[in-house]
Amino acid sequence: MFLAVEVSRFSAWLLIPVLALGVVARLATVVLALRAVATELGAPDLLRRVAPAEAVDDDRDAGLARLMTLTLLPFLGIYAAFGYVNVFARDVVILATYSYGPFGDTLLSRLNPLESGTTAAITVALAIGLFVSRRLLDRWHERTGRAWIGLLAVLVEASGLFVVLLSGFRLWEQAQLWLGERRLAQWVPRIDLPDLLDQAWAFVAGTVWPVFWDLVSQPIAWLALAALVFGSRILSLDQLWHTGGRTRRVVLQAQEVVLGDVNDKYLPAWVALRLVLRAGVPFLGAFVLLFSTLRLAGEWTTRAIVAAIGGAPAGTWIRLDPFLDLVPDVVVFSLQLALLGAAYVRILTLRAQPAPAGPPAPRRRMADVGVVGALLVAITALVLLNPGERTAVRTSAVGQSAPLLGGRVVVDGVRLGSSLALTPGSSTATTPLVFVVVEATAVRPGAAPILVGADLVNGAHTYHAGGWASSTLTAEPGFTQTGQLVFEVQPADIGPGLELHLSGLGFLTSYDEVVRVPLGLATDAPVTTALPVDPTTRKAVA
Amino acid sequence: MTSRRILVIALAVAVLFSLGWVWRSAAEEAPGYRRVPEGSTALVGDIAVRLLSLRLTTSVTGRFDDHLAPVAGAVLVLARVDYDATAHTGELYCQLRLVAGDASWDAEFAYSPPEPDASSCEAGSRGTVTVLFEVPESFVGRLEGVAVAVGADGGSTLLEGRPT
Repeated sequence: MFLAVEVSRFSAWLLIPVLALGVVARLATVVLALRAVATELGAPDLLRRVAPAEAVDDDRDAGLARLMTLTLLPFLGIYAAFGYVNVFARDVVILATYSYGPFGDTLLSRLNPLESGTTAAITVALAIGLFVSRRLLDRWHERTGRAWIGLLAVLVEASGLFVVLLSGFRLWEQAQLWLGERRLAQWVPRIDLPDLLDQAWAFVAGTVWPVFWDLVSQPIAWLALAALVFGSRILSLDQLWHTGGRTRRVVLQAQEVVLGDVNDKYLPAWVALRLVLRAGVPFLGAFVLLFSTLRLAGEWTTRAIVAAIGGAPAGTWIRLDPFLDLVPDVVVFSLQLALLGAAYVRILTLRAQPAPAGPPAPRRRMADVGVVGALLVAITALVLLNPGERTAVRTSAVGQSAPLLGGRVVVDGVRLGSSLALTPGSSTATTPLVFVVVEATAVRPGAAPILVGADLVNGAHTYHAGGWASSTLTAEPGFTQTGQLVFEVQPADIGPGLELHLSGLGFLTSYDEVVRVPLGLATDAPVTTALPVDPTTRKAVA
Repeated sequence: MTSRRILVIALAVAVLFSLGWVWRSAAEEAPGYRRVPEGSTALVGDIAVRLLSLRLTTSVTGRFDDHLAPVAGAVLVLARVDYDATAHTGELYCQLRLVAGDASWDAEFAYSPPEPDASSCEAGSRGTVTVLFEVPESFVGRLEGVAVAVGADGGSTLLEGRPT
């Protein structure tokens, strides 16, 4: 990724193949590790024993190059479907923004096909060219069986993904916007659901589904990926072609021509997923629980390390990032690989056992229900244990200085008013609510500047600093800055529960800190008129 | 390939990567500037720039003919940079920052230079940009020069110079 950002100095398009090479190298590493686990656990022999006679005995055990050509393409398909490739694209944009700055000619603007006709032509030509190249390479690989051609096809496929993720997506967005403005869009029937159903749908889509996706589907996807590498002795599309009826043959032929990827990518992935899902709910539930527990343990460990390092400028986090990644990518992932191996071998063993005759006994069924219920409770507990966005919350008091982002912040005082005198002898602002004016100071004795955002909070109500005065505090190196933060607040929220939350707004802070300052206001605190709001001032740090 | 051999190769790659990364980080300790010796002209993209002077002062006239003075414990620094953007067409974004080690300061908006000097470069022209900085006195001895940002080059060229 760092190499990709470096080469993008010469041309933004050079970033695409370098990034694709990075993703393929990462996938190859995972495949190697999974294969090592499989060999250690004796999975290939076990698989041969349990596989049906008509299943394909591919030559994945013939060598690493052959294994890579067989597995990398479907691996990339699942990897992309679960958003891991998007994470690569996002991280490279963040790193490029840090390296070259967020303004002017940024990486995304240089790859934006809407910025110029040349860029649009390059994007379209690359997307089509890479797609066609991939298909041609596949044919060539099938004909010659040379491993390097297969690996090149994977590289081309990954490059195509990044062309879409970093550039082509703009064309898609533009097409959607264009379509939305056409009369055709008005023809789409709208269904007005009752409020209750609407809220239920919002809850499912906004809360339940993301948790399910994150916690349940990803471990299952990894198990399917492991099945791909370990081998699942699948029927290939060619065999289905020859064994199916006429209609089936026509459909498959159409798929091969139009999609082309079915045999290479989706069929192995689908068969692997089906094999995994047959293991049963109790088994998969226990696997999901253990897999997610390992992931959360890694996240908590990383959070603890980050908290021990404390607030630091963006550059420090960029430098530390590869080492922080060792926790999830090496320690946690090694344990997860061992779990994946054990789980897959267990699935194969279960498959080798003869199925019990007749329906399951009621006692067995009750036990299964009990296990599933217990797993659901445990998974819910895991959701609640998920580390939040904030890493450190400190509580301070009015007049008391607190550390934030390597600098310090202090709330100097609080005043309430029904109107503001904005500049002496100039305009005023009035409100039917209450103005809360908080004077606060940010101190930055060191080299990095500090940018602090402020929110006023009382229970579920959050107020952002308005435009009457400062909405943030910024202290440049060696300076303090004192500003008046003005909030327009419901009178019912004036009271002991009202507190100011100060947090860092710096780019790439990684370590989130919040300083909570209870303002100590009584419910009948005096409200004055024509409250003066002073301009922002700064001083050199003594 | 045995599992042990894979492990040894993986560890060797990890150690090499770590050493490379530490070396790169150390090289970028002072945010990776391309340093241009005092008085020399540098090309930033297709813009030629040269630091003419860095001058300490205690008072200047502001954008609205007001009197600008530093806050207690700080000084004002006037930076003059010659530029040649005659080869540049289209939009031009150039920004100057005063640098002292890891610390840097933005130019003061309240200051506008007397003509013919300008506050920023202009595409297709050449001239002198004059900007004002306010810096704490404690940093004056560490000032190294002015970083120039033009378009995609996010301020990685440092025109070295000491204030007089």
